[in-house]
Amino acid sequence: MTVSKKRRNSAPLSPYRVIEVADEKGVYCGKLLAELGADTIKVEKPGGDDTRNIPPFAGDDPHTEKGFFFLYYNQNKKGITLNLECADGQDIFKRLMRNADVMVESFSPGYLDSLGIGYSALNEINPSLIMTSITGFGQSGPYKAYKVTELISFAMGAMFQCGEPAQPPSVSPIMMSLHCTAIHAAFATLIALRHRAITGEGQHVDVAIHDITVTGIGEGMASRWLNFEELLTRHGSQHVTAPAAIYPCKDGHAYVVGGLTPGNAPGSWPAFVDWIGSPDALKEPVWEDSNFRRQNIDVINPYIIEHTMKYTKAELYREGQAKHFPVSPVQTPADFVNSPQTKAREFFTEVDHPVIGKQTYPGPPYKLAVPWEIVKRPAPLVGQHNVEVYCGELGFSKEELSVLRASGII
Amino acid sequence: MNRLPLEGIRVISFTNGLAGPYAGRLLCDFGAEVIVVETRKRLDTFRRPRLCYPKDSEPDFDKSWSWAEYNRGKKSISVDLKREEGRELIKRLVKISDAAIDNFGARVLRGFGLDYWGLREVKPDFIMVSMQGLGQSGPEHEYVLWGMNLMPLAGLTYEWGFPDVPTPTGSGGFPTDYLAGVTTAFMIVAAIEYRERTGEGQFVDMAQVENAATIMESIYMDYTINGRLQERRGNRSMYFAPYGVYRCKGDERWCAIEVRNDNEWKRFCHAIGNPPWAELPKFATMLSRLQNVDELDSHIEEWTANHTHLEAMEILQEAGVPAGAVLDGENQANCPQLTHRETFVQIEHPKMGIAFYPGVAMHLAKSPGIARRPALLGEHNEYVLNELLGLSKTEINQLVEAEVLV
Repeated sequence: MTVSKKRRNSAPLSPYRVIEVADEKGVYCGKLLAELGADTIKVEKPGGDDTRNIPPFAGDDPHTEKGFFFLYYNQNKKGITLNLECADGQDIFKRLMRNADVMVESFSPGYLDSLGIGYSALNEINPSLIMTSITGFGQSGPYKAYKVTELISFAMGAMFQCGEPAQPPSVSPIMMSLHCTAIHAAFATLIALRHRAITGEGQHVDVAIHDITVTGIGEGMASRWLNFEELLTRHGSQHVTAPAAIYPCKDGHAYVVGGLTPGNAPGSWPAFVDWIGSPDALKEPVWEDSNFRRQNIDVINPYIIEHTMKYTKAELYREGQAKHFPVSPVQTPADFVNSPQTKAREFFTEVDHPVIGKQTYPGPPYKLAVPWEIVKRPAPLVGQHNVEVYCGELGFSKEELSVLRASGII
Repeated sequence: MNRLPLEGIRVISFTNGLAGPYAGRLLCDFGAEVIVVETRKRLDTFRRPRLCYPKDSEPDFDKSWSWAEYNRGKKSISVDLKREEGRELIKRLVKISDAAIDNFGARVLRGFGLDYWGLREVKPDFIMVSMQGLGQSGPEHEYVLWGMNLMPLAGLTYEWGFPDVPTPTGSGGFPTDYLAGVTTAFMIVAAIEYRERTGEGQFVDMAQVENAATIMESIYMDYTINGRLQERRGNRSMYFAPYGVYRCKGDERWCAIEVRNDNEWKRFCHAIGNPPWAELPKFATMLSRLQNVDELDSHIEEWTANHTHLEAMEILQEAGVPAGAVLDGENQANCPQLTHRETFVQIEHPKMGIAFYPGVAMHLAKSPGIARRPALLGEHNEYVLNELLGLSKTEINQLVEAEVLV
């Protein structure tokens, strides 16, 4: 495939072809690469990938093309179908990999090898290929065959610290550990591309959700034990400094922090006492010690609550911030979507999709001073780019494509 | 040793706390020279000696564990940016650097004339990621926000916790810091790739709150497209049962279990010894299990209560059922898989001695990266000012005496 000079220069990753054969573990990795211009093809099994079944769906219609998860994470990718579990499918896959730069996959370790399309086989076909594997526990080790889901990886890596002490550990409502790992995988993929630019060689990148969850969002529970023999436990919303926690107010809750700034400056403890109505009981100098406040937070809390209950979360946000306290409202997702800040940044964007139409999606997590030129496209329909890729690139005739379809290969 | 992939890339770190330092640590692991700009006049929140290593050390900002953990591998210069001479030094350093990371408040670098627009004057192809809580634009962007404020703003805290408890709690830590940190590292490498091909730099305005929002897609789209505001579900799933965190033998011992289909249900029943209740028609299908989920969960806890969390995980995983013990710090420290992967490594430091640090978390077969020790505050003043910028020792001493290097 010839690529014009302009296209090669239009975005950071536009010279690269990425093949993604990944479920919910790898889909955000592919999205990040595609959003920076990589020519990304998502390979699905005939009939469509299982992640198309992740709810909720547009209009609560459980339709292959209407799942929000699939629609969101597969923007800017092309989509083809291919059965990797048969000889024809494996042969076609190998042809596809000849001029690929990156493959993102998330199968159980050993599965692709059992099909003859694992790293060593593909490395023989294309020594400059980078294969980024995202798995629960890594390519080797005693847990390598363990089943993984978001619930399982978050439980093992981070959940011991989540929730109130009097309740069970609290499950994350989003795919926190999977997506955090997928960003690390995207970063590692760029590192491997740089290594290739220096040496010419491809490599296998092995990223484990368990590693990332424990060393990242697990907030140092393991290193605290290893270095201090100290167990970090659940502490609700209460931070190590105090006061810093979620407090109730007239119409909901707000996260209220006071006293982080030393001395008498705005944001300091004396300023905070002043803000909450100068209760005499908190004016003793002993309260200026943050550790003492943390140990006696139950004495302070009634005074804070008496203050916060007089206001709405929006009022607390405005007034707290005017006085330089890190106060924020506990917004509902609707509050966030409709907030003046979110609107001013145009975080949500409109995407036009052939089945669900023009709808509002969250945008990427960054704004660029000089936007790179990226071809924007909605998530692919099942097999939408089969003709383009199989006939246009690999040289199959339309008749051959029919044969592949009839025999369940695409 | 082979050349590391980011060797020759110099990154200036205007950072504090967690998110910015985490981004720099990732770049360091693969060979970038990351130089932290700090000063003892206004210590990084994590430098403040709350928890020093080794345990029970006298307070010393060079032994502060939080700083060490997130800044290992970097160089440190102590420059007071409030002084004109200090800002001039930074501009000279920018001329010979590639990129900068900034997670100070939005007003800080702007006030010093050291934000992207100021630094671009000095180096037109400079790359910079500014990662304030709410970004660099919009009516609230100058607000004072810490990691704990961001999940509440994004609507994530509202969704996180038990429905029968009035107060949501959110996560115990600061996931947005890690999300924004790794996205920043990713964007810097991408921008370098682009610059090498085109000669053009880039400014990335990365709002930390939007990093959390980006992975809450289904919750928002359910609202923007279906008009539905999701409410807290606690540890239950709307779609699968069994699903949740089950109490095990011992104090504070829990195991997560998730059964996603009929096949896993059969394996689950077999693994727990096919008890009579599991044969009942009310648990035979996913829909019936969801309808009778309270009763189902109490039966499952009868089984888990007889096993430790690690036993429950091993029995179920051996049977091919997704299960994960809720590991505490000690369990993680002893986790055979993490040990096998050498996820934690020992590094020696001149003041702290040998401690365990998170190693390079991603395994790249041919460019594995390297985890190096954290710096003392200002340890690299001489290297940066003398070797890189060509100041004489006399000039450096004058800057020390004038408290520009402090």
